[in-house]
Amino acid sequence: MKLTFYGARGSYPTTHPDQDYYGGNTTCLHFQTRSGQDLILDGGSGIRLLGAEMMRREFAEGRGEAHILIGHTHWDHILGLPFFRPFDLEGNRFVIVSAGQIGAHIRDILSGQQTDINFPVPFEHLKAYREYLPIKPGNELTLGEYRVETVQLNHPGLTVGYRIEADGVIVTVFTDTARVRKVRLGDGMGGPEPDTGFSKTYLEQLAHCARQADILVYDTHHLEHEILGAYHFGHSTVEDALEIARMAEINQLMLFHHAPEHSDTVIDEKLALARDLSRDDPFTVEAAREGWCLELEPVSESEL
Amino acid sequence: MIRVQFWGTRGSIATPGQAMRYHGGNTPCVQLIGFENDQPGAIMRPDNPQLILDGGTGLTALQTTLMGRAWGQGQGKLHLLLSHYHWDHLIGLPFFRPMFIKGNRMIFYGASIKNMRDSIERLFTSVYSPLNGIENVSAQLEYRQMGGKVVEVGDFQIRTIQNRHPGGALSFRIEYGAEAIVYSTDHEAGDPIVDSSLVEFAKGAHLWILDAQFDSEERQYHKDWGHSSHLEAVKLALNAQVETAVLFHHNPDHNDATLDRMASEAMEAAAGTQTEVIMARDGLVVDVG
Repeated sequence: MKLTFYGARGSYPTTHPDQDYYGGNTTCLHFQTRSGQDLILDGGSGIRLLGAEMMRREFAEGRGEAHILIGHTHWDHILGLPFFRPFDLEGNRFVIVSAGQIGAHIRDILSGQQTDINFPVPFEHLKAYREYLPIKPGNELTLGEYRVETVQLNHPGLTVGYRIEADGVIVTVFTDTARVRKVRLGDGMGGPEPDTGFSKTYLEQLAHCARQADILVYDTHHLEHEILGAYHFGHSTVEDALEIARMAEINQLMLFHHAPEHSDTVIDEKLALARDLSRDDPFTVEAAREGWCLELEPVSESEL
Repeated sequence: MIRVQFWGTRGSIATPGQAMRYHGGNTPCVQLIGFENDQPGAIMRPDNPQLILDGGTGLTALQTTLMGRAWGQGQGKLHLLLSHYHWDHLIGLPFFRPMFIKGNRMIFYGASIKNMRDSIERLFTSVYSPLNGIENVSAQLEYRQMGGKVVEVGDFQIRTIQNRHPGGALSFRIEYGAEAIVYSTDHEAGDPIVDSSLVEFAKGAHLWILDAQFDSEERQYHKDWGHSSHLEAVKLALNAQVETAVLFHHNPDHNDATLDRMASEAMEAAAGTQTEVIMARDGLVVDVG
């Protein structure tokens, strides 16, 4: 399975020169199996560039198919969708997988992004065939060759973390999510005041969804000194990510959802800190950067 | 003197990345700062009057210059003129820190109070934003209608006219002392009546900021998209005999090389005239007067 990051930034796209290495586009990950099945996670500004690349393939002829998973519907995770060119062509087929928000279907949320006051072209006018698969946290799904499990993340509204398995490789993506010991933010989590019993069960749920993942992609928006007073924004730090990484016995931790204020140097330091704090752990740590393509092989196969 | 500071010059969607580095990738946001003629060294003082044109992602770059001043202490007042309510002209607002400091006043001006208020409120609804509703915005928000008559903001005098754009968009003519600046983003040239009224509106301006999203070839395939080509923009500027035309609202698909080519074509089209053509880019500062 191939995994490419088209956007690793959180909150809003950034264009500063000292952010070129990790990139400024907001969240978008592209998965492709050996046999060529496409699965996209999130439609942040990075999906515009992914769309342009897909238009060099069968999607340009109206013969493309892909699943699009939406983690949640905050701007930075959907604002690229109106600029995803493969939607323009009749014959292309997409299944949009999302929990929406409480009382709001994903179709209406995406249409609402393109109402005539706010966007020149209505979502309904796009020619590609789009169907919707509403999901809930805790669901297990089979999407073509992909096996997918979902879990609710600790972020305002309804936010879904995904475990994505194909070609014998597991990637789990937890973005956006906050430190549950400090705040409960998700709809139905009974917050905002923290609760020790809830925290324990909840962390176990997250770890279960990430169990033995080859890669765990984790929201590490804040640095530890920034998170004081910012728990309610719904994001985590390296320390939070390491905790789940240890519990889940993963192979590699991937720092993700970089803060828009953080320069490449700051993210380098965040990565160095994560490596230092995990020097005795069996997993490695990397930081997601835009344009990075990972060719993932099952561990057992590559060891043979 | 008016200082015109370009914080976001890209159209449609922000474009991070090295290929866009010179012109930049933030969506529309232009700051106008008024200077008294005798102000030494043109160094900005806290009480210099200012206007912000549009609230694209350029606002996130602009905010760093405000937070160290009155806006960081909840004593700031900002006038934002909105050409229209397409997201690329508003999407910076949820990330604009002066919005979240109690005591600040944000005064928005647009063609329709209802559409302006609905759009800004939608930016903050729980479906799209962790901020969970406009009621969590601490600054005091005010909405004022503009169109028809002259609006005065301090010593700035503002007139408006309709562009040709799906859903409508306003051009602004802003006068301060003897200086006049016109801002016409999101306009599709080609309708003789609209174009001639725009030219009349911009006549004699020192600076005209113009939509120039497409190159000539692309323009042929983009009828009714609400945007002009660089050469159409130059033609409007020459007809209005403005001193300087600033080409603006760059196509997100255009890298620096493409924009450089368009710049030379546009400059060539204006060669031998009284009008100077420049390309807008994030970070560009032009002092007028």
